[in-house]
Amino acid sequence: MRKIFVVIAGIGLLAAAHPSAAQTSPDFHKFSIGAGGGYMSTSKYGSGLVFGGSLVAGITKNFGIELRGSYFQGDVAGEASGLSKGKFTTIPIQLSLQFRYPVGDKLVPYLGGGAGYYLNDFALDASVVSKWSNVGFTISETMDPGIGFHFGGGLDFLVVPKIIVNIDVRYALAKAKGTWKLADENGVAEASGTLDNLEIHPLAAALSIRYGF
Amino acid sequence: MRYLVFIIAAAILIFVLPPVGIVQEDGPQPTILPALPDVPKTGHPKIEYALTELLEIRLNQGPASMKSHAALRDIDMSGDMVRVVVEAKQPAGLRGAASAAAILPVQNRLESLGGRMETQYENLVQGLIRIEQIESLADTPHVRFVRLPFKAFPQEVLSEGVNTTKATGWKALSPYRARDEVKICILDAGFTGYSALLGTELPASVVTRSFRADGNLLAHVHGTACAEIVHDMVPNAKLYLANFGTDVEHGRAVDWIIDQGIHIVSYSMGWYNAGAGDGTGPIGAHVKKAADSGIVWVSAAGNSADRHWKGTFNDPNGNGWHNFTADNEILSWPVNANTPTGAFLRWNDWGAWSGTNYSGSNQDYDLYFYIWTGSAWQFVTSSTGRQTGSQWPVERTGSWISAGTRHWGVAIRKHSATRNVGFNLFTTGSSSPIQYNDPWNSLLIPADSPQAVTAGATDWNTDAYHAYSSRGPTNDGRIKPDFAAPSGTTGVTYGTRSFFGTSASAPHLAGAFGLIMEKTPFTAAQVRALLDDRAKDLGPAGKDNQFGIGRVQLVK
Repeated sequence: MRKIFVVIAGIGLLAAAHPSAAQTSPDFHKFSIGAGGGYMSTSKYGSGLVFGGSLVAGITKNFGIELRGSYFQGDVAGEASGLSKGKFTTIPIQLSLQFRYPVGDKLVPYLGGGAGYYLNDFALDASVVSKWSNVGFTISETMDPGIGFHFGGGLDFLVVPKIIVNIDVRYALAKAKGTWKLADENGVAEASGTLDNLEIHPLAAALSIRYGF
Repeated sequence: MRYLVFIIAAAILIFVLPPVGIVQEDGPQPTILPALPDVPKTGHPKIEYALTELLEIRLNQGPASMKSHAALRDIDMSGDMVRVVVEAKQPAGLRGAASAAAILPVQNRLESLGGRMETQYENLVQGLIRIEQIESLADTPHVRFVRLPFKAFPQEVLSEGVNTTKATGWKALSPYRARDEVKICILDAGFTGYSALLGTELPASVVTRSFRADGNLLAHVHGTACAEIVHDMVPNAKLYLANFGTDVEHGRAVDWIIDQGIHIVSYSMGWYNAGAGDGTGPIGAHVKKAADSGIVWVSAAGNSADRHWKGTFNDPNGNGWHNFTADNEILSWPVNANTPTGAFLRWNDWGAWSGTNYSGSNQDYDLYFYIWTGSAWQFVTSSTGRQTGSQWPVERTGSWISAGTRHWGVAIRKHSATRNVGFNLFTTGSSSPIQYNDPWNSLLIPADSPQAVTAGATDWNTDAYHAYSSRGPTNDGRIKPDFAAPSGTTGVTYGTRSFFGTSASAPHLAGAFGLIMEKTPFTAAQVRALLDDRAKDLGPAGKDNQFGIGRVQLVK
């Protein structure tokens, strides 16, 4: 939760500091800031609701830059996932370049892609920890931050002046590394290793409300 | 007054005279044996004494006497031919085509003499030959020695040991970054009735292979009971059931085990005279070969603690016979009716172990076997093999049986020796501890192997040490067994009869290894360290020659 706050606050500060924040016209190639939620599905680490916020800065009429942060937590079944049963959490911070194609005064469909930094976390299920503890072992698994590349598209719809409803769908190729460790409580035996190819690959669809300025 | 006299007289009668209906057993008395004349031995120096004796019986008494003698002494015959092992003069360690080529001259000679090769392993050829041809075979330049095959002895249902070893919690775990499957081989005498247990007391399917010359996988029930315990401990392990009858077949089985990628061998068999008791010898070499391939070899300690004597030759009266005490030169033991019994003697003059064979002994001692008639010892047989420098320092009586409960006894005679050697004497079939019993150094082979993880027996319920369970140290002074493990458990194979013996302990210990290896990524060495740390220390603090490092348990 702390990470979410930091990300959202950062995006907010970035937006607030911009000189054109006082803009009143619903001009799509200026700035907008928003928040929303949707549904995300990863390749191996669960599916569920995703929340986040974004800042879009129009560079030209047809190009914009988006900075988006979101939060997702999924259940890991523990089979063929590289991880054991537990909770996977990720906070992707994605920077995208959008090709925007305004249609009339109210609609701006766009395509985009970019790169992201994924703040990942993994917590083993308590039952797994408990079972190993019952036989005198500690078990741990971690997931490191990773880099991903995404692409997708969406639609900005001007509902009323300054208020934009956004629909966004994107898919990312994102991987991360991690570690695992199984150790006897008396330090007699320990096994550990790295997890080199944890494929997150999220597909997300989100609906958000943005404020343009 | 007359009544008083009567009462006193009656009391005397009651307390002094034996009760009516109880016959006092006239047990063996201390015996000093007469000195025997020193007659030079005439047997072929490249033939084991038991074969020489068989040949003499065949020549002097005819084929019928030979066959009955062979049956008595547990010598395998097929028709008129006797099963032998020919030790070829070839380097050890050959496998496959190289091995087959190396023993070809011996095979050819065996067949030219009307014999037949059954199987071979490294420099050993197991085959059948008429006893009349045995000396011609031994005279072949490529032949080092001709002997009887060594034979192993089985060491005598959700097993209670699962709970005793605290395996239950482990069984509930999902494998964690572990190997795909754990393969455990039960290498044993046979697996009678195993197929009826598939899917219940055993996995739904198992891999089977018989290395016996006759291919009989069902030759004995012992292995089935052992496999049942392994399955109780590690239900998801892939089980391999392999049996053998002789040391040559044993070698081939071990090569197969290595080729199959087996992780653990559960071995509840024991050999008496197949090595010096210090881990060397052909069976020990098989274990080392398996261990060098990464296999965990779990071996039963043996059930001979109360059937073992050790001592140094001592002849204060100079009559050539060992004195077990000042007035007794025969060591005895009781045997129930219709129970096979016999004795194995070895002494510490093996010479150097080359990896294939010992350089041999020139200290010639003999073993004599007697039965107590009720009033005197009656000579039964002798084992008077030659030790002229290249032969092993061993003698054995073979297996004998009596229709009635009897005492049997052995005497040890110095034939030609320059020093007083140290002996290990093992008996079979005794109904109670043998006379002058010394339980220490009573490990069977290959429990003495440094590469084997050896299991002694404790009661599954009380952790009490079972008196029969063989003890260390090894003859080179290492502490054994390595662990104690549950015995006296029940299973389907033996029905209502509990499964006692280190034979039951070894599969529990093998199962403990298997269960951890199945659930974790730990190496065999790490699993061993874990089991060492978690064992329940029993007996003297630390590792000792009865309980090893303690009774195996998977959770402290």
